[in-house]
Amino acid sequence: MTFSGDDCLTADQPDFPCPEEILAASILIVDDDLDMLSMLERIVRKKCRCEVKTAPSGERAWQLLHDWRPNIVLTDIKMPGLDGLALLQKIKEQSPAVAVIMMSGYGTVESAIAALKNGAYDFIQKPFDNEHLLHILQRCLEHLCLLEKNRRLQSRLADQDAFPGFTGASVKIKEVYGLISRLADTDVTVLIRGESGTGKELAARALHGLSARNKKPMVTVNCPALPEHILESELFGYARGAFSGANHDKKGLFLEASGSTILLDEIGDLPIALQTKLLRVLQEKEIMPLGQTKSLAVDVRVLASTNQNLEEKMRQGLFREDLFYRLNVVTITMPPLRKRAEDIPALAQHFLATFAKEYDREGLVFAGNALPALVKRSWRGNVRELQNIIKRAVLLADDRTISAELLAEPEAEASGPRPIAENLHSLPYNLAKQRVVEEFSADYLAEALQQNNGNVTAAAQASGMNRQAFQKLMHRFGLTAEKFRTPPER
Amino acid sequence: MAHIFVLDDVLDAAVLTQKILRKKGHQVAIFTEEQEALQYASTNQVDLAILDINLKKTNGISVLEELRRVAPTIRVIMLTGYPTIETARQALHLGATDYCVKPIDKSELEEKVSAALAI
Repeated sequence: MTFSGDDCLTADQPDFPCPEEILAASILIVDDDLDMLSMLERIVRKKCRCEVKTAPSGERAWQLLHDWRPNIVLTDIKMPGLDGLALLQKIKEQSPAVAVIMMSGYGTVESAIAALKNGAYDFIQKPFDNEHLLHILQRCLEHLCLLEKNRRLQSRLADQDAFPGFTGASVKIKEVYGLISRLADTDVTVLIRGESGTGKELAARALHGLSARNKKPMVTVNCPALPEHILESELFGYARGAFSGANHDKKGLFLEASGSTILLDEIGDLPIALQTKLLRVLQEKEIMPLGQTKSLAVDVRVLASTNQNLEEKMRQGLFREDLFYRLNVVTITMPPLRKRAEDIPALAQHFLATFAKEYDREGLVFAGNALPALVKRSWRGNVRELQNIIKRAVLLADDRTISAELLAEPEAEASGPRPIAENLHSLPYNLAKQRVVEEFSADYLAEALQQNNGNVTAAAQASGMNRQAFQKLMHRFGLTAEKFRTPPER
Repeated sequence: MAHIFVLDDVLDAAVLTQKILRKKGHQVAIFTEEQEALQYASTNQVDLAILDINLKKTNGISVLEELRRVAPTIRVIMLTGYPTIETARQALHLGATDYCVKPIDKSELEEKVSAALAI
């Protein structure tokens, strides 16, 4: 036996923590030589932060494996009964992902070849020294960790639908998928840029959803929506007594997002005074609530989005340069719809399916000329505009098809009266009038709700109605306010 | 039939292997110099390489390593008169399909070659 005893094992701390991906790493050691077995157990326990079990025979090992899957099996080859090679074969048949390392004191080239060709991870010749064994175990754990990582990435890529919320397979959008996959599981601050309606929030959701932080919900802050002083207390919180009316401590959104992700939407509109404070959070990873003298450490991943030209804002002195560079570690630029026109048909079908289901109009299809017309038109409002146009068409289509005319650009529509549906003249006057009024009403109400972000009171006011009357009409046309409240970017 | 090259520092050994495999209808090139063999593999579409381990300048393991770079799809059989567990381990880790020991009889060689080509 050439184990050098404990002289190289003085440290109590494990030499190598198991890689994070396989936190619950576990090892089964199999050897019929009981002294060897206990010595190996002791070394591995001392040096690896792993669960360790032992078996004095191949049969016992196989029994243990019946309801336990270690990451690694370290087994002797020459054992009475079920020997190492037979055990290897059984393990590989049942669970190929388990790494098997073979040991042999009577190592022959043939047995080494047989072991490796049958899928053993490695072959160690006895006698070996502890360092050599530990080195191989460590390498094996790293290898398993890479395999696991690779498997996770592959499964993300393989199933494009699993890419949360996105539709499309154009080169431009695939670049975005690729970036998101690579960045998701890091803590890097990402600046998401792109025109309005291109799906910046969706990208942020995907980054959060594919990260290890996805167990907690992402916190989204719409920077321009709140006045400066409220925004500050919203973001960082305050201590009781910080100002009159602060009757209790308030947890800020940063603290709320601890362990999760915070999205600062429209960061370009963040007041300059708050930019300084945000910079501090990004640099020090701590926040100081209003009226508190002590800083609190926070573990938050920061994402920021903007449709503004931050470089221009910096030149005008409206955006801090140091904050820009802090945020702009990596940029994801969402392509405008005109640069990914080949995705329009897929997006249109996706929205049709979504809204047809939502408004109980399943069975609707696009007319033959509808999709080509959609591809050709200009999309200043990007995917959001496409989404709204399809939603409108689903609400207004009067038979089972959505025609190109129904999807026409609003400018054309505003210049004259809306084309009356063709089959209208075949209806009696009263019915035809009713149909037109219904279409008009549904359209009008939807538009008013859309304009006011689903706020019924505001939409009613804008339409010169009281809330109850408006609600009654909404009810009649089957509209619900929720569907117009900050529609998720698609 | 397959395109094969044999690298062995002993010319007679390479010629013998070439004769056996030619009879099976394969196209077989032989080399005694590592560099020439690698050059050949990088410029020709070769299916299988049969590498000796003890070579003139380097050894079959480093040739295998280099071969992985210049011709990643090529299948490799190691054929050595001085087998060791360590070189067997290295060769298989580097993706060799087999590791054979000289002297090898004719039928075993044919069998190993057709098995490697079947992968």
